[in-house]
Order: sequence, then C-alpha cells, then structure tokens
Amino acid sequence: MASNQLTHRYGGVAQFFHWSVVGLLIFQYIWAWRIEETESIRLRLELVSQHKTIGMLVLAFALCRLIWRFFHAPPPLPDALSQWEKWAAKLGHLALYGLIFLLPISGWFFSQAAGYGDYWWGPVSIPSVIEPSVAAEEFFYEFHEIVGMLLLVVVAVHVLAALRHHFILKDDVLKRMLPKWF
Amino acid sequence: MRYLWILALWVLGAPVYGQSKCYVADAGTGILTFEAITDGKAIQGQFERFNVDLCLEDNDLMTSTIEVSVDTASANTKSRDRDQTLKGESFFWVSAFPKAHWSSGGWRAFEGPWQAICEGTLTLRDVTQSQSVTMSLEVRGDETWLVGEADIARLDFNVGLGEFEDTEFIANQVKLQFDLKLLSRE
Repeated sequence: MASNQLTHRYGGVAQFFHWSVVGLLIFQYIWAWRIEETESIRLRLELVSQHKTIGMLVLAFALCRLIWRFFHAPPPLPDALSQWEKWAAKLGHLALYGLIFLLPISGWFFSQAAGYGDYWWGPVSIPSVIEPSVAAEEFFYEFHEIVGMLLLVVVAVHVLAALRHHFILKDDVLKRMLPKWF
Repeated sequence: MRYLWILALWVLGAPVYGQSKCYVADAGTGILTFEAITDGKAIQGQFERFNVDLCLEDNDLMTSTIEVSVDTASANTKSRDRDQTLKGESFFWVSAFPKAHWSSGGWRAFEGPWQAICEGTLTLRDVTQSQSVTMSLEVRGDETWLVGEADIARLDFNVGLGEFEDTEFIANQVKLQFDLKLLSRE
C-alpha cells in the first residue's frame, strides 16, 4: 500500500483500469460515429450491439477502478501545486468519474427505452429497469449524446493538464499513470 | 295451412342441417402475436389492428370458414426504430400492401396440442400462397375462444428482402400465435 506513495506512481491495477477505460472509450466514440454514419440497418444493429457490450464493460471497469481507489489511495499531487490547482484536479477527476458512469448508464436506459433489448453479446442479459417509451427514448438519446460531448470536453482538459504538467511544469504527474519502464 | 307446414319443416329440420353460427374477433377481444429470431435472439411483437370472421356449424371447428384481415402497419415490437423498419419496403411495405389476408380452406384433424389444421391461403405483400394454421376452439366459462399458431416462412412472402434475406441474421420461420375471444356476430 505504501509502495504507491513511495514511488509516486499509481499501482499496476489502477493503471490497468485507467488505460483499459481509455482504450474502450476510444472504441466507443468510433463506434458511435459509425452507427450514425452507416446506411445499412443490419450493420447498425450489429454496431449498436457491440457498442452496448463495450459500454457495459466500461461501466464495470469504472466501477472496479473506483472500488480499487477506495482501498488504494492515489499518490499525492506535487507540493508545488497551488491550492486552486489541487481543487481543479479533484474537480476534474470527479467530473471524469461522474461522466464515465453516466455515459454507459444513459446508453443502457436509452437502449431499453428504444426497445433494443437488454442483452450483451452472448447469453448474458441485463435487467430491465425501464419500459420502452418514445418519451424516455428521446430523453435518454439526448442525454447520452450530451454526456458524451461533455466527457470529450473534460477528457480534453484532463489530457491538456497532464501535458502541461509534463512539458511545462516538468513534474511527474503524467508519469504517475505510466508503467515504470516507460 | 301451407305456411304451417313450412314452419313445422323449418323447426324440425334445423337440428338435421345443424346450427350455423358466426363470430367476430379483433384486437379488442384477443391477441395476435409474432416471434422472429434475429441475431439468435427472439423478438416478440403483436398486431394491434386485425379482424377475424368465423362461421361454423354445431360448434365444430372443422366446419368453419374463417377470414382474417391484418393491418400490417399495426405491428408493434416495442421499438419505434424496428417498427418503422417493418413498415418499409424491405418488410411489409405497408404503403403498397397495407393488409394481409388469410382465408381458411380444407380442414383435417390434428394430433397434438391442437384440434385441427386448416390449409388456408395467405396473401401477404405481393404473394398469395397456401399457409396452414393449427388451432382449437376452447370454451372458457361461457366464452368461446379460438387459439392456435402458424409457422410462416417469411421469405416465401418476400418479407425481409435485401440485407435481411440472410437467415443467419433473421430466421426464415416466424411463429404466429393467437388467442381470441369470439363474439357472436349479430
């Protein structure tokens, strides 16, 4: 437990969840774009099915990451940072977590409201929480899109902040989330 | 006196020739559902507008003549997107063929869960061909119900064309089921 703080790095498990969610979210945005673009109904159904499956995986990984974080405190921010920068970092991470949870949940609700079914790939079903309805379908579609756009903005700020730390402030904030050998 | 004879013959003759009775049913008195396998998963739906006319003798199902008319635009699978696709040219093409019709034909007894099988004729989209339906008459209290099912090979009726013709994606067999309370036609 102390090793994280001694090395000022996130542990391997935290890094695994972080970069897995990054990779899956990139996949999700590409798939969302393909769903909107395709003219083939059959392909759209397949893409939606894959998008839903990966979305649920993002939710599961984000949940694991959050649980892990409760038991493994992240390494402290550099002392050189001002108080407002520390608060901004906390706020940014809070927004990231919130949006990463909201995105798959709103997609899940949209899928059920639109009557697309409640399954992953294979036989695993996810419980139905809302009944199909046009009003709920329209609401969760808009909500899912807005959350997706907001997450893009917050991720952009997150990435820019990490690059600022690395190239301008020249501290180890970015390196904390990279493997030791990097 | 001559009229009295005619009346007597009519009264006496009625049991000999059987009692004909006609019934109607629609979405207000029963359900007409379908189930298609898409991508390995069952998609259920129902038709929300249809009419059934049935006439039979002595409550014997195998004497029945049945006419069914289904408004194909009323297919409801609880998915607006999917229902819109069903209305399109690749499936029911409701703008050109708003109704599907089934007319009963010959009957034979059926061994199994149903009383009888009827070789009828189904007109769906631009195709008319024979389509068998298995069914039973059930008396529930003082009500008479018509229940049964049919397996329809959708591609025989050009339902699901183009990219939907692949039966690995959408199975060819679509199961139709009905459970209809019959109301006496006045």
